[in-house]
Amino acid sequence: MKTPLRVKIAFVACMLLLTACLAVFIGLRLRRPHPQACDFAVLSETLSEAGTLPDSLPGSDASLKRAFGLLPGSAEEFLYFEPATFMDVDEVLVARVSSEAQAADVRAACLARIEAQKNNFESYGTDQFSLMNEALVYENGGYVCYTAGHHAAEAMALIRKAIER
Amino acid sequence: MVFSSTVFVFFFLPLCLVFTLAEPDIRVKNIILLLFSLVFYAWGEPVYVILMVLSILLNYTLGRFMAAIPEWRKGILVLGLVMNLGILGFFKYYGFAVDILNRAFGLQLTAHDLPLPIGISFYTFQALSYVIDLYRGNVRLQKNVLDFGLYITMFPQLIAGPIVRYSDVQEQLADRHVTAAGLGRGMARFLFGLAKKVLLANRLGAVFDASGVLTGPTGTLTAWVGLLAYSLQIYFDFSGYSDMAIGMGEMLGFDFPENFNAPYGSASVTDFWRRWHMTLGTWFREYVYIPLGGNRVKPARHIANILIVWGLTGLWHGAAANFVLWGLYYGLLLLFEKFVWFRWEKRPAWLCHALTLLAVFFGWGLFCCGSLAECGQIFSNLFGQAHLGFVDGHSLHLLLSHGALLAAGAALSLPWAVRLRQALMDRHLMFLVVLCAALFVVCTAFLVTQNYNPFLYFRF
Repeated sequence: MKTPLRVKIAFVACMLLLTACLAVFIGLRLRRPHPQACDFAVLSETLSEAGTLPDSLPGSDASLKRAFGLLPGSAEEFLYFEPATFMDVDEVLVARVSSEAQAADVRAACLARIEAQKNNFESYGTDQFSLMNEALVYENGGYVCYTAGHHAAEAMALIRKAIER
Repeated sequence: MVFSSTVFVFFFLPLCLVFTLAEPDIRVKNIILLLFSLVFYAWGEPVYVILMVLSILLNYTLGRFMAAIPEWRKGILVLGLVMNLGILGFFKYYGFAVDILNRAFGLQLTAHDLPLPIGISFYTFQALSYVIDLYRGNVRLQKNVLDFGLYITMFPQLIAGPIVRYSDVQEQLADRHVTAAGLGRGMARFLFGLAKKVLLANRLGAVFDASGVLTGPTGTLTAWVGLLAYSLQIYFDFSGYSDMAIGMGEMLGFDFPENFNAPYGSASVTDFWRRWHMTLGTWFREYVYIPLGGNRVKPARHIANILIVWGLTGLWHGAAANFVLWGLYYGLLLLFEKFVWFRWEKRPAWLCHALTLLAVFFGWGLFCCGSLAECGQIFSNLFGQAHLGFVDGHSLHLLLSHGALLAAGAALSLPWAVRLRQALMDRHLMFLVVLCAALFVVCTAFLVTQNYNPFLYFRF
């Protein structure tokens, strides 16, 4: 028995609708502000010159692993400034990621870091604890950023300016 | 959400089990499981839930109309292949393709790289298996969109497999029962997987990281120790995930296919690929290799078929040249075994095993890199081209600090460990209960203090 024409029209209509939905979804994702290729060396200089890192030191792969549990391969590139002493909480992490999985890993690591620092200073360092309550995590397509400490907001503003068009 | 996290182990999984086991109606049970699966995916991937839902609607619609318009079945199949592979290709390979074009023709095309949706390779392959099997008449049409959605999103295997074909679970979607014995077996399997991940894979990963074999010049022995740690890490990480997925499936009444069978006990590379990521191998055999003609064609075409399948297997793992190279490396090894090595009938078993392990070991050298430059670095370190000597202080420190862990990992990756687990589950229940309780306590202690440690296969 031949299939009625209305069924065929319904199929074509469904496919067009689903294709349109997919196209809109992809279009919206592409229209989001795209991270521009950010030179981490330049960003590092910008952050230092703006005086946002007085209580931080350039971090290493080992300190990144210790603090966040992140390996060098967990993202495409990291910019990390660690607290200058164990009583400081001033910290900056910018990760360039190439997949949602990497972004989710780094985001989760940042949130875990905030919780860990809060636990470290709760009932012990009230200033540090309140600074950690104001720590910032920001994600924009190809970048995940984390700032904490006295200049967290200024540092985050500079980072966002550097990675967003 | 990661299986090896306190949120998952102490909140998400128990809540899901309580809600699904308490509900007697299979339709409501499926809806609850679907909702939990969507929450699980949205936990780390809120935006891409929309893409997954669109994929579900697309493949469900294709199935419904494949049954409703028999004269268009072939066209609908082709449309399904084009759309599914198009979505996967766009999100996973678009940037890679633009990069190749730019390099090959000196162009300056701009790729708007989007983040890769987590698990897209796995759920796209599952959706494709439904559409293809429906076309072949191997499965029945799924008329309930929620049940079909559950098949695609089921959280135990959504992110990193095993790749469950629709034919594997179509009966269980409509009717399944959870017994006390099944629940116990599932919990034990889940705990074995959790222990593999938390107690072995994560710690072996730290050894690989400490070796520095990827990031710069190292001594020869350091490089070998580092790559050995990675070889064991990836096995325990991925097989641990699969054990947890299969265990959770059993707790929920599903019977997922096995994904590993002690691959490091293989006597050949061919054998290794029958024991490693078995569901991916089955998928490529059923849906690519056999449709291409398999081995029932002329030798030249047979060779081409093998290289095509392995090139695609490499590409499936990632949009990078080293993954394609890794796939082709295995294609060439399999051809060598088929046409040369297997003709030597009196080859000693120990030699076969040793050479297989060596071949797989070098394969991981290609696989663990992020770029061809890193591949160059790792092989340069392995063969002493870093000119830092064979043994140095770092290699001795690695061996003294982590020798016991490496030895335990190597021993537990062999077939006897799988046989022991099976024997425990079949015959020594009291001992199994005690062992599981101990593993749960130790794993919890590690989970509470550990940093964030996702599974390696999440990136695929």
